[in-house]
Amino acid sequence: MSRFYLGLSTSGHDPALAIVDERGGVRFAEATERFIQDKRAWGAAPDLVGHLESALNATGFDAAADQLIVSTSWARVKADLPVSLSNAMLPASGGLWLQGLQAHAQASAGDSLLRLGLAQTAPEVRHFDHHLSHAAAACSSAPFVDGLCLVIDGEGEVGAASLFRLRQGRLKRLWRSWGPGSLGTYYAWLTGLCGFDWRAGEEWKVMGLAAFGTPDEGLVDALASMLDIVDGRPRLPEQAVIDAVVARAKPHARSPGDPIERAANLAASGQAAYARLVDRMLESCASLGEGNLVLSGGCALNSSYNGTIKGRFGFDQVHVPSAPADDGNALGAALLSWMQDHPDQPALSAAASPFLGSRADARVIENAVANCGHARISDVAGKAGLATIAERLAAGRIIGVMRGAAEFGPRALGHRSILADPRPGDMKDRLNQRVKGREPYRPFAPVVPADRVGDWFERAQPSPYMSFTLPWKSGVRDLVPAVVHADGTGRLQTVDGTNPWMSSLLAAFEAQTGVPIVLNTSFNVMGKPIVHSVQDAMAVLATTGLDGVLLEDVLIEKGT
Amino acid sequence: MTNPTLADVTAFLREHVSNRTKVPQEQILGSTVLVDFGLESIDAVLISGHIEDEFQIEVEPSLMFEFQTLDEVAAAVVALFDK
Repeated sequence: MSRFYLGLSTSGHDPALAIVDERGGVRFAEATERFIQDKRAWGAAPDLVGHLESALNATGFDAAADQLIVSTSWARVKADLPVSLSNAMLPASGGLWLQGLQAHAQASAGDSLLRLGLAQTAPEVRHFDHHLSHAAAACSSAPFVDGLCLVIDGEGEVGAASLFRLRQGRLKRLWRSWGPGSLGTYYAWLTGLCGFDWRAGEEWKVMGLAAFGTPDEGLVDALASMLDIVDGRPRLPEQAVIDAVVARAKPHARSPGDPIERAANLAASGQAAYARLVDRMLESCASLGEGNLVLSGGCALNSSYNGTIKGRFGFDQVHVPSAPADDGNALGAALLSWMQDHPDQPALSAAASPFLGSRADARVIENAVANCGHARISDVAGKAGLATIAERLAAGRIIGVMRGAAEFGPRALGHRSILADPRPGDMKDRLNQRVKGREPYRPFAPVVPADRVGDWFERAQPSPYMSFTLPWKSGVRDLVPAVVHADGTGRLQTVDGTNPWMSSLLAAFEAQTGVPIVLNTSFNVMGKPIVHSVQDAMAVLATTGLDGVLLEDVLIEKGT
Repeated sequence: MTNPTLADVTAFLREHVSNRTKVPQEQILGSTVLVDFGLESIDAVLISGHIEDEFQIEVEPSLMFEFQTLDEVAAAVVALFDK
């Protein structure tokens, strides 16, 4: 008999599940949205029967012999505290809705074990502190075992920020913020002010749009006063201050139907205010004298800010995990559950792969090849195959890739990606118009060899999960215009020998073009999650201007 | 290191309740129900955070909602010292 640890993200939004084995190894982790193909999967159970069943099959779990221990990513139900305390900047209806979803997720966690015959009565469920779950997941993939871990998100058990000290892979909380005052909620409020919808996760759009605007210093001052930073922690100021900020910002607000550019300066100012506030938090952390920082929580998705940290506040290394938002907490809960049973064993020390999700079904790939009716089917295994793919990309073809286990977290890192040539000036528009359906102002990301980052970017640093946005060196921007944002930056993914296929593809692409960089965007269309099944991938091929799909080592292409 | 005494905790709480409610400390009695001083939910939550920082303990967010008087809260905090 072996004991497996099932961690569930029970926030009510961004549900996910993760499975850790008896040795503490991470065997599987995936957001529910992938399985049900509904973005953010609001209200869906993180242990949805079909998803859990396929995850257990992927790990080799033996239902007849093995044991499954269930844990969740919240210690308690949010409804235990008055809604006004946790959702001060959002409409009360939104707060109530979130509370209800979280309470339901907490209450029903593990129920699927009954359906799967893994329990005869409702299973005992372990509950872990929300920010500790963030920290455990984040630190498990860090390239160091000592440092600080700062969690900043929308809301936690008692407040929206926590600081932990990491010592030899073990976490100790140094403080947590109490009461309202949340960077995540601030950014959600800013998102609404810019005419976007935080419930749809459109904080990305604010960040993307910020590059087109100029911060208005007076407005930045006002927006930054929306939160006080006290002892390193965000706190809401007096109501009169909040009211004044709202009034100051109102003339800059954009209605959803207004032209996008109307919100550009507001977005830039709001992003600058966010940076100023997190700077204050990190200044407070700097006095603790640690050289390594792990940043997690939903705010750690702010790659524009993340790219500015290294080298400041005494931090030589900054790590952001592949899934810093609430989906990642499934992994944290599973790891904490394992640690509870193994208090004397080293924990959180093995750098984990981000490729922890489902794999393509080989039989469905065979069926797709046999029945798709497309003009060209190629076996592209090995070096010759990589040269073929590089040749197609260099010829301007846009290719969807589904290889290996899916990424855990919101970024496509080459296993569920759409790849293209970054050199043509019109590639961005072609991708948007023919495939993605995204707004033209949003950037596309580059993949760069880790040992060549300094040739292309200022402030060179590792960015294996696309967590950092850095400025391109001024002399190279014209070489790869499709992956240079309006402000001259790029949210890069760095790859090394741990990602051999992508590293080899970059080498093959360079051999043909002289440029070791490929455009990498997530394999989805606007409004949909990243593809999960082979059928999802083939549907994108059939319904968009995608030129081909790579399913493991089989390239299916449309006729020219 | 010896734990703070009940009197230490009571004095700490009295100071913070006074700060939040603007009621002079000498008027805050141990037996009076805290909401009667005008203490609101937000005050209770923020004071809970101060308790954690001051005494280096972990308190439940429901602490100041479960116990109604200053004496009751102080006793509950002292009970946490040995946990």
